[in-house]
Amino acid sequence: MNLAKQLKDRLPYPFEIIAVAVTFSPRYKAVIREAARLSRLYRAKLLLIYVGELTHEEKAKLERCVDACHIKSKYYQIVDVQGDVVSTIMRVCKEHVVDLLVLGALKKETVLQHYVGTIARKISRTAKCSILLIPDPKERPLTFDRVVVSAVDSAKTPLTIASAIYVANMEDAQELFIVNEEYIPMFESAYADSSTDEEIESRKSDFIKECKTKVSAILDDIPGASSITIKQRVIFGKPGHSIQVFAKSKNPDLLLVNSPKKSLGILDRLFPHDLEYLLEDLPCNLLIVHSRGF
Amino acid sequence: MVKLGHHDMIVFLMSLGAILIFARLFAELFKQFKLPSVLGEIVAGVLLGPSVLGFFWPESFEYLFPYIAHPEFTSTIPVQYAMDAMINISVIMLLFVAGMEVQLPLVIEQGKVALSTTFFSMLIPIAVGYLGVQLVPDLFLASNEDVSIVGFFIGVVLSITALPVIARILMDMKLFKTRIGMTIIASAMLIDLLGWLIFSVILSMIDESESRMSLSYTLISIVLFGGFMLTIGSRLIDKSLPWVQTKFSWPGGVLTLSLGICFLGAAFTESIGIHSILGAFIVGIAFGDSANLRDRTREIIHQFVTNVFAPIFFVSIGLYVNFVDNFNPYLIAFLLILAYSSKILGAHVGARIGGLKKRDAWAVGVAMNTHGVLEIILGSLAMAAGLINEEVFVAIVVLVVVSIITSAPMLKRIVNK
Repeated sequence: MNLAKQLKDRLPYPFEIIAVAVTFSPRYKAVIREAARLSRLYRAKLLLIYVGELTHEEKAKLERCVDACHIKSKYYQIVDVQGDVVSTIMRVCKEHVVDLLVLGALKKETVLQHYVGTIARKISRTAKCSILLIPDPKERPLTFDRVVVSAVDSAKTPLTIASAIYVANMEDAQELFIVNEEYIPMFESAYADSSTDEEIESRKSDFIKECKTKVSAILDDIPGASSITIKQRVIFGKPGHSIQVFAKSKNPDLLLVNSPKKSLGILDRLFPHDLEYLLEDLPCNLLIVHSRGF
Repeated sequence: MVKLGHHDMIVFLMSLGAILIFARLFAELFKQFKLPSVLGEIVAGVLLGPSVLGFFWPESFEYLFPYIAHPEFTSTIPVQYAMDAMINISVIMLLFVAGMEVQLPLVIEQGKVALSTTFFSMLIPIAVGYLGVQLVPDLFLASNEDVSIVGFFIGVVLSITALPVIARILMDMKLFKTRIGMTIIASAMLIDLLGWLIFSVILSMIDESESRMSLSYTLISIVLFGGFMLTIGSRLIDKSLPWVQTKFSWPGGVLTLSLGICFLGAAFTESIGIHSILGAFIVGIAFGDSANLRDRTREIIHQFVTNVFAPIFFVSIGLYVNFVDNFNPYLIAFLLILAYSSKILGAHVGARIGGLKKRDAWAVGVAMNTHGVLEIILGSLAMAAGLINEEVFVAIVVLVVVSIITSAPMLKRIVNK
């Protein structure tokens, strides 16, 4: 089976191969430990990607770091390749059929960084596999107890919800919030001049009912959904921004969202929407689920 | 300093009171027939204006609206100035609210299909409108000098889509969030922006005052102002809104500041030789784009403008224009043919090129041929600037009414096929 077909036919979960992009920044050990925890929990092979040429000392450093996480050498691999950082990491992920790429990321970027783009953000905007951005990696990583998943009106959403249930089950999460982000851009102006408060409220409650019914139908088709505590919420606002506000108020350990419909560029940063709002200021660990060919 | 005297004040307040009450009554009446309240407000104006009240009860009309009944004494009636200022402020606020509806990120998200639909549903109506006026200039009473500009203007009117009207139709038909719905909304938003930019250029072209700026200066100014407001300006507004909404009294604080910035933007564009409405419109886009603007705040601004200021403007249309004398059935029929053929075809072609299926593209075409408030504002400004006469304006109003009545049934027919 060729690589493209192999990738296309693969669901976003289970995570069988987890990669982590390595730099020798002050936080590199914490990032590797976070990736190693996931690799152990999900029984996935761990791939450490370094762009550049590793010296013997550097390689030994990485090996010591992974060994300290109690991962046997046959379950991890260090790959050092040269080239442009973003495209090289993406190429390696594709070649190794990586299910999840773990990246350490700044919580917030400066204005210049935002428009020029940092490595983690650039990869998030264009990646063809799921990405986990960790803004505050811990030397002693914690499990994801509280998980939030964004359910926007998109064909990708059922797989993102299914991934959230998979993660919540694996992490033995205490609660999973499924949050419908409803955005009706013209609602106020369309009904501003000729509707009573009652009519507007009844329309809104109809929307809420519809959203909940849709999510319930999705959940019925997902095995394992009944084994965790699921809470449904419907929030109104711009997708990406409203879930960011929600996540900030609930303070979850992990937020899952759909991958963007297409690669995001400078125009999307100038006129932000969806994922761009989250990348601007990460509210918590962010898992961008790529639904691949599905 | 000219001041309103005792009698002027009474006349002014009675006029305003009558305008607002009649507008509301007719808006509610039209609501019963599922028609937009703006149509009721225009009808209220026609009934209060020279067409009905002035014709059957001229004394009452003269007492209530002396500045309209005796325009020859305009300069000696200060009420006229007060009313003119009210109408101008209403238009500026209407444009601000119209700008708040334009969501550029939505346009970018829809990508190719929105761009091609926008391009063709502007290009074909502008070309058809232009050629239509060239073909029968007498019908539009356009002189040789301005036949090109009038043609261009008619094209722009034909190319615009009424966003709130079509949004409501799509929501009622549960089509809003479908690909058809999003294509229509995104394209209509972009057309609004481009339409107002073009119209501002047209207005500056026909400006014969001494303070008139060169076309290149006008174009550069529009690009710089728009570019600044839609990028840096909108970011500044977005970043400061959470602070304003929590530290200032709500909703009064945001309401005052938003309208204050709107008037400053309008004043700025007026000062650089572009019409004030463009400034208000662009500031509206920058404001409406903010994800931090609370839904309730947005709703309050909409309610305030559409229920208090919009009626003043729409009723004034009927007050100042005699719809009976200026009703030209040939012109109306010709304009309807131009509008329906060019807009439906243009949007259909654009949607097809953008990748929609044939039936969906026809649905987009029919829906995009919904005209509304902005066309009426365009028409009234063009009439005030001397670009078109009252007959053409009445034809534009009739086009708006007919398109609003026909678009929903036509769309239903295509979608249910």
